[in-house]
Amino acid sequence: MISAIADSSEARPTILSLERQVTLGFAAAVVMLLVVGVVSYNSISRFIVDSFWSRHTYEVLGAIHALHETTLEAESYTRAYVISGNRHYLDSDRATVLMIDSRLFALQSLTSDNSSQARRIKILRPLLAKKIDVMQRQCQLRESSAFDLAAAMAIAESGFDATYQMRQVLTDMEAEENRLLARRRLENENSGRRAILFIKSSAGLTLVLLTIAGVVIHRTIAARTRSEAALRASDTMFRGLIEGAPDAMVIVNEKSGIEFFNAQAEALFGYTVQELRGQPIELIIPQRYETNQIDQTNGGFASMVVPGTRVGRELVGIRKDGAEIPIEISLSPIKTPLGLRVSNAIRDVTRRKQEEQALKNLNAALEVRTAQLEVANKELESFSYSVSHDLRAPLRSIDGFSQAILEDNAGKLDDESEDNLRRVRASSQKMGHLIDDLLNLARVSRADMNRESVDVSKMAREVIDDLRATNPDSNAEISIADGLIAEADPRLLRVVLTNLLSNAWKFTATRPTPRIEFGCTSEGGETQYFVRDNGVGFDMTYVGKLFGAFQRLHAMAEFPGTGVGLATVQRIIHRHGGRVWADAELQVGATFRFTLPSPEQHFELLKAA
Amino acid sequence: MSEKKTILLVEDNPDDEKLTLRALTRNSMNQVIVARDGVEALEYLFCTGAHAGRDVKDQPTVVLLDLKLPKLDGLEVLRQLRSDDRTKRIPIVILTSSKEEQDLMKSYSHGVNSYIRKPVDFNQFMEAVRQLGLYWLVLNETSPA
Repeated sequence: MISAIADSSEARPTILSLERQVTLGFAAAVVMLLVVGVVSYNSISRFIVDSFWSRHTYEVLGAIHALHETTLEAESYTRAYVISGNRHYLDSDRATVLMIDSRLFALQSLTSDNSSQARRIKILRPLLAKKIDVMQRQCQLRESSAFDLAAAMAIAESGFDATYQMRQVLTDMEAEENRLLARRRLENENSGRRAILFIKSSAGLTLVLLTIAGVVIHRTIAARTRSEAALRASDTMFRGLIEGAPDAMVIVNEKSGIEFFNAQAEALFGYTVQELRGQPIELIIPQRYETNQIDQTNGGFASMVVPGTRVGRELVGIRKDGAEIPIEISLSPIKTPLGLRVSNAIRDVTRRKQEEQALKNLNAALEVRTAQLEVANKELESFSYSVSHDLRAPLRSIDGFSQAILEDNAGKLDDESEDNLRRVRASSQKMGHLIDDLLNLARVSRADMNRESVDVSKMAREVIDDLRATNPDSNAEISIADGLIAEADPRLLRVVLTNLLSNAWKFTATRPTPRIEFGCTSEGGETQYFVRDNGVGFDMTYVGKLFGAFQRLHAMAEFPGTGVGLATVQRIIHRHGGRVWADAELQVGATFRFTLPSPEQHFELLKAA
Repeated sequence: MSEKKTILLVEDNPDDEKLTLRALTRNSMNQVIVARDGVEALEYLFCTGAHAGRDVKDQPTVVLLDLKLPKLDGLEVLRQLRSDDRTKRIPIVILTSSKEEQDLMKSYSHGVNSYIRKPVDFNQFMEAVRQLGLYWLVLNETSPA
């Protein structure tokens, strides 16, 4: 039933037209039969009438003959009486003469419809009267006297003329009737032939029509059989599709009664199809319409169905056992020949809800963690602020008052004491540098990163210019590659370059011809920047300690420093998602390399990690 | 404006006060007034409280202001001085231990004239103060009252 929806819109007009064809064919056949019937009836009636007139003509001919014969009979009786005088002949003669009248009357009534015959009857009547008169006179003569041949002959002769004329008239009438008979026979034959022809042709036509109707009916039935097979196939596919769907599928009618329910829906709601067919959808999805804000009193269903699919409404379904399940429902209207239907794809979202809740919890936890981190960061900030302010002040006092003592007691202190005071001052100053470097390290860790396009070559040149300004006597040979551009935080990158280049500067200072080189190479699609020098280098055994804070590989007296610079460099490069490493050889030189991946590459690296 | 140039030093740390005074007085014989917190500094400059009797027109040539101060911090002192017509033209130099970016930015936003970070090395400190005195007391021409 449901599956008829699939191709009904296409199949229906064809079936209707076939039905109309059949109806029209039958109507034509009926009309044809009626026409044949009527026309055949008419033809046969005509034939019967024509036959009647033929018979009539035979009757008229018979009457003419009868009249003629009776007249001849009367004459022969008269003659017999005249000759024999036997009264027996006279009686027969009188009876026969009486019959002539009745014969004439019969002929007259038979031919009353024919004016020309009636006219001949009129001529005939006096002729017969004359002949009867002649015969009576002959008989009277014989009665009154003996046989007198001459007198009898004379009377007879007076009647010859009338006899001749009578015979003539009767012959004419006979001819007339024969003519009529011939004509009527012809007409009768024609109408009979026409009737037969018509009946034959109508029978043929009816046969043709019936054949056509038969063919059409056969074709219609074949088409119907085919479309039914297609419907069954479509129904099978529909069911396969619906039953194979991952979601529970429910189809409801205009009164929101359930018409279809797939296996997944059975499993989801715990009902069987039989239990739910015809039941209202509210049984399993109670608040469907309320939440849909549809006026139920005013044909809510129809107004609910808007073109297209309504996706992802989250509602609550009720299982047979009364348990509530969170569901997501998608409605789509289906126009069917039986009216509007709505298909409901229903998905159990219990797990998704749980996952959403878990995600929410996770997010909440993350927010708390972020807040905690922010607090920690703030604390760290105020800590370094205090360090910056408060740790340096006592150092300044130590250094300042040591100097004051030295100044105020110039010449009064022994060498040992002066040296000790100078050591006090040197230590406090060193600690001042350490504090500054530590603050720097902390700052690069928490400072906001603002990546932009940086002209690294130009920045390196500026750093070298500063170094030259503080060490104007250096004969260092500097080589900086042109056109190096990186995506980096310019302030932090400057710290990196300053540290690496001033290190190179520092460790080449003892060389007769210091050489410092800055450039980049491409290794496997990765841009590697490098700072190379021909300085004192270092023992690769200790390379692991190189980037640790406060790690130093050289004696303080030889090369001053706090051991925080490379730790700072590493921190900055790591914050850019890059790597920094070094290789060196004692007394030959050192090369520091670092990478600065693009933000996209950085993101990919983080994901991979 | 008096003949004798006055410096107002706002400093709560007695060690720093002594060292600064040592540096300032070594180079010249200028008068140095010391205020030990922000409130005292404002009282002196606006001639209120303990300094009620002072002439408000007699203002120091330069104010050396520390940032970290009891009661009222240096930035607030700076803000109040800059928002008052009587004091907004007085040269103010921040003299502090901090090199924190936010301190620098806020100070300049509030209209400070100069920002000096106290070096740990006393020799450098002496040199800084010497240059400061030379610049603000000798070279710089203050705004006419």
